[in-house]
Amino acid sequence: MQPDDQGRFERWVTEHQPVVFRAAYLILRDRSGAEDVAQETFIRAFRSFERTDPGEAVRPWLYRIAVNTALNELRRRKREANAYLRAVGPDTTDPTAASETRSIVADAIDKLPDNLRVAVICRYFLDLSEQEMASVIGVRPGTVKSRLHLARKALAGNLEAVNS
Amino acid sequence: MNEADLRTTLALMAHEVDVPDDLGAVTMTLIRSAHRPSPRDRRLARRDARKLSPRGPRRWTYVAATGVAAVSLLTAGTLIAVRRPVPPHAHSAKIVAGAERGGGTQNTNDALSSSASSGSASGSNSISGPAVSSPVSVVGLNDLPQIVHTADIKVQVKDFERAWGHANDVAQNDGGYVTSSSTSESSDHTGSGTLTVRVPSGNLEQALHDLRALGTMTALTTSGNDVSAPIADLNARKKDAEAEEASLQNLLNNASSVSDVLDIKSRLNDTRNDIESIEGQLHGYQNQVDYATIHATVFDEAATPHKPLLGSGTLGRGIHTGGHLALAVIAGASVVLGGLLPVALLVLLGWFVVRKVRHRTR
Repeated sequence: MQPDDQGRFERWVTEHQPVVFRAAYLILRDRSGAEDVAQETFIRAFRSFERTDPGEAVRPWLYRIAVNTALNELRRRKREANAYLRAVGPDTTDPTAASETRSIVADAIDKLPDNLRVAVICRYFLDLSEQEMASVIGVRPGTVKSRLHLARKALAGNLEAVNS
Repeated sequence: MNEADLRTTLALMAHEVDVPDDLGAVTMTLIRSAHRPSPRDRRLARRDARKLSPRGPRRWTYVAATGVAAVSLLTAGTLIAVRRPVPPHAHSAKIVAGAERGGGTQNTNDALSSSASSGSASGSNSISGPAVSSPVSVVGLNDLPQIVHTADIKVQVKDFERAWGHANDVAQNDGGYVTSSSTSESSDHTGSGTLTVRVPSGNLEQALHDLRALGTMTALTTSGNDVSAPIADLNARKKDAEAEEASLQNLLNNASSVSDVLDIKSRLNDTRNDIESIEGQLHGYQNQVDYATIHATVFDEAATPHKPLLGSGTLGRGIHTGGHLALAVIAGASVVLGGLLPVALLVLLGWFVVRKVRHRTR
């Protein structure tokens, strides 16, 4: 790698890694997991760095790696949690007890299914267009629209349930 | 819910935690440690390093050192492969001398030989070793080494017909007998023949002397095979069998029932068969010890019994020697490669383990 390339990559890290970290945190809701995802995202990006075009839009590309990495981590955690539940039995603690002081909107977002939550995060936190979202999530633009619609509908339903 | 609320809420949720200050630095450190330069990069780096330290060994020195080491190993392997065993003249002489003195404590080998070839002078010198009067005639009566003597002699003669007749007389003159003989005549009317003669071991030297006197000896090989151990073993087995036979005979005399008689008689028969078998083997050994075997080849001066395929000229000898050398080199290479194979496997295993450990560390 040439020194110029290394400087360019370090600028990527400085510029995009905080956003990647926060997006990963929104998906995983876990700080250490978000750190791992933020690091893994850029390690993977570095492996493909020499094949990238300097003029190409780097933001969607990095976000695609980050979202995929975070979703993989989320799936892995769910597998482990399921295995744990099968071994020791269901958790009897109230999942809403710890969220009393938090925004009801945040709780409603957390309660969304993963695919809808990721769509919401991509659209309203990462500010991706529907076309970019389709590329990042790996679905068709129509599916993106559908998921956003469902997400908004589910959020409204959740909020109504809380208010009532 | 409007989009602004969602954006605000998500931003607040995302800012529940702070981005670690060293996240970027740690990431870059991980990337640098995980990044392995390509083979081309490593090669270029080595080249640059050599340029920076011109006093270090050049690449050709490594190649030359490897070549020298390979040639050295190949040479060593070749020498090992073509190394000839030490002619056991001295051992043979020791045994014979011990036999003459009547001592039985000398070290003996199962097969001992002395040889002389291509040259009457050297052949006649080495003949004195095994050609002794063997005192072994009674098997098992003393602890002398029991040696089976054999000899192989080639004699070149001027008049084949006359020499062949004398060769057949040698056996009778020395108290022996001819076991086989054959003659042949080539297209150029030169004759050759082979003769197998058994003579008393004590007359071996005289018989060989008589055969040598027929013409010019071109090759002589004598050997002595020590059969003391099997003879002693057979004698012990025979003694045991005879004792058992006597015991059975005694039991037979005192047997009271018909079934006992039949049983003892059956066992007596088996024992007798064993004794006779042992005696037969002992007799065979005794015959071999008492009578030495001579394989004699007598051939006309003009005849070439074993004409080399490539001729005996300079070119033929050269090709012959070259072929032997090539085979020796191949044998040497096999020795070296065979010796290095375990080392290579260990190196490969070590490399594999180091690679795995490095991979896991990363």
